[in-house]
Amino acid sequence: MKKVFIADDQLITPLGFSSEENIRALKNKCSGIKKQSQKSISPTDFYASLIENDQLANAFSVIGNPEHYTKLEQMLLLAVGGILQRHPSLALEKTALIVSTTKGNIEALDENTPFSNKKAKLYELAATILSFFNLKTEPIIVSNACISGGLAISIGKRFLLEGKHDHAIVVGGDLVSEFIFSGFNSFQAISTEPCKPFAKNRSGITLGEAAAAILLSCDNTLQSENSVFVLGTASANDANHISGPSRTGEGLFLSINSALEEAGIAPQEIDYISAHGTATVFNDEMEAIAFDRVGLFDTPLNSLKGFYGHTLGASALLETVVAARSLQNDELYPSLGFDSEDAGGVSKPVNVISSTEKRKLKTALKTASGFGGCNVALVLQKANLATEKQIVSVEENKQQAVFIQDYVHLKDNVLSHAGKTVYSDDSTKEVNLFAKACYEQLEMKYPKFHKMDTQCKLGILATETLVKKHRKHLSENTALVLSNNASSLDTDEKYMTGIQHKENYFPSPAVFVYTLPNIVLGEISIKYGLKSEQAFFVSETFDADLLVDYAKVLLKTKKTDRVICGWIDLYNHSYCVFLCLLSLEGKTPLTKENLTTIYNQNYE
Amino acid sequence: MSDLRTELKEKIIEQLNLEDMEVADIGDGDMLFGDGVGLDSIDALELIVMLEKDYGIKLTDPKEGKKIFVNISTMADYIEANRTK
Repeated sequence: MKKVFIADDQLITPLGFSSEENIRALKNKCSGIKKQSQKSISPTDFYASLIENDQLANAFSVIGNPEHYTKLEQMLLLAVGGILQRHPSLALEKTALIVSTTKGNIEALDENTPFSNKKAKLYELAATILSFFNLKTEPIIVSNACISGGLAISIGKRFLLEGKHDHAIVVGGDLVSEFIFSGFNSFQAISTEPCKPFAKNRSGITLGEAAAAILLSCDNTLQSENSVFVLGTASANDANHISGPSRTGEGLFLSINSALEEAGIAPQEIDYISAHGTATVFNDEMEAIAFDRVGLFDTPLNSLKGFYGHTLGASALLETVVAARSLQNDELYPSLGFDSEDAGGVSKPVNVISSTEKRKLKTALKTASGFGGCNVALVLQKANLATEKQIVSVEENKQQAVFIQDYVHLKDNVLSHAGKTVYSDDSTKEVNLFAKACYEQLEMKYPKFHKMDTQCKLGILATETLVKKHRKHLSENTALVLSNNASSLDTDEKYMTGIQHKENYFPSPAVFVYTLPNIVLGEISIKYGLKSEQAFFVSETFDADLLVDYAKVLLKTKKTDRVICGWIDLYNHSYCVFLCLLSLEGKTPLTKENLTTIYNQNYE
Repeated sequence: MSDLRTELKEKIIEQLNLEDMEVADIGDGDMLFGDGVGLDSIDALELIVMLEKDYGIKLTDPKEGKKIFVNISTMADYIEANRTK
């Protein structure tokens, strides 16, 4: 029976440019977090875990010219390069490339950068990796806030089990930029001291930068005697708030349970938890509540944010690598920043690992949460003690017929439902004004609408139109899979106007929170109570292949019974929105051709 | 005094995107958070930015915000006492 495992990994972090170096540093309690004095990131000194540019350029110059690649590209290319170097006969045409990042090369938007601002598009970042190594499959880009790295592993695993690919290179990375630093600062979320996850006096995050890559495979020839398997994965939305985590840990609780169920594992079998542990008051409290609800209050846990800082799009991936190595080495690494006097920092008991400990380990749980109310959980298990238990096996599930039950378009100032115009207004070129007119036309009465960025407004309008007929069929179990070309660049540029001029430097938290494309998933979840699987993909054009395959695998593995999927894109006054409702009933079968035809359809 | 209160109401409506509200809808003593005007945690952060941007007041401890932003009156009083712009 097919199972997916981690065949290789490569870390590029301030603790070293190999996974082994990183593990040694963790054992020696060497943190990457240092006091930094970089006016290009922050006007005042700050703590962060940064990769040294010269060290990186030196390492990169072995494979390419550092002057031609951004810092982030050098990190990602080194990470992928390490893996490819050790697997020279990997069948590239059967290998997916999945890239996880929140802001990518956001600094390419700055006029002062030597690089083209085209590089700010996330699919360009993936294209750079693709062409550097002459990879052969269309990259999959996941941009889903701080769960991106874990979600990317989940997506890779699902596609491998479906036979879409034999292997997947999953790579993730993010930089500490002025953009990101100022944004989190506007949220009062950055600690003035190195972060202290789960500690009583914790006061916020420390940012970090890193890249991590893994090779996922289900090819036995790549397996070793203690390979770590990815047995179960799940994501779920809190449906509560776009920046504050659920006070009951709802989405995380649902994710953990779903991942455990898929893995066929009971909570007591978890030997170790690699928590998200960002060290904000609210995140760590929420995690403690979720772990307690599942019955994991006694399980040894750590957060690696005390070593690496919060590495955003890299974090869940990097921390999964460490968790896997932890299992392989039968070693628990400390949760740096937590000492005995720090106990009592959360309202539920947590068993925080204080120093490196040798212990027989078999199964680990990795969790992550992020802006937009998203959460992800992964269950990892070491091979030589792997049970023969039947996983809720993909092979047992038959692919039922899936249908396009309904759809909506929002483009050219026309809102149409199943091809028929609902509302049109060509009197204004301003997208925001058109959105407001639609809102009034639909008689929505939802004050939160006015706080959203324009991209989210368009998403909400389309969803409202789509679900009108189907409200009674929608449940919190309905999945949401969206995509676009420009990620959140429209709002990113708006945010940048608040930080561009030092004399008028007022980063806006209300704008910053929308500088992640997955926030629209959160807004839709909150309004319609959706607490199920979600993902946000970025691609140059509408990728029917990806959406059809991913929706089908979610339905087949019974992670959901309905999927709302589509495209919500806005940049520089130009927009295009397409949403469809996929279910196990309907008239139009879900195929790539049908979906593409409907996507391109014009309204009457 | 009352000019500042009106000014604050106008600013809050505009900057926090309270589209369905008008100045007349916000009483000086109405709770800004919770059931009154219904502001949330992100709005609180925006108010802190507004204090600095428009009135030159930098909050050294953001938790002070809880006492300052109870209602329009408490906000106006605090600004009158501390503004540098």
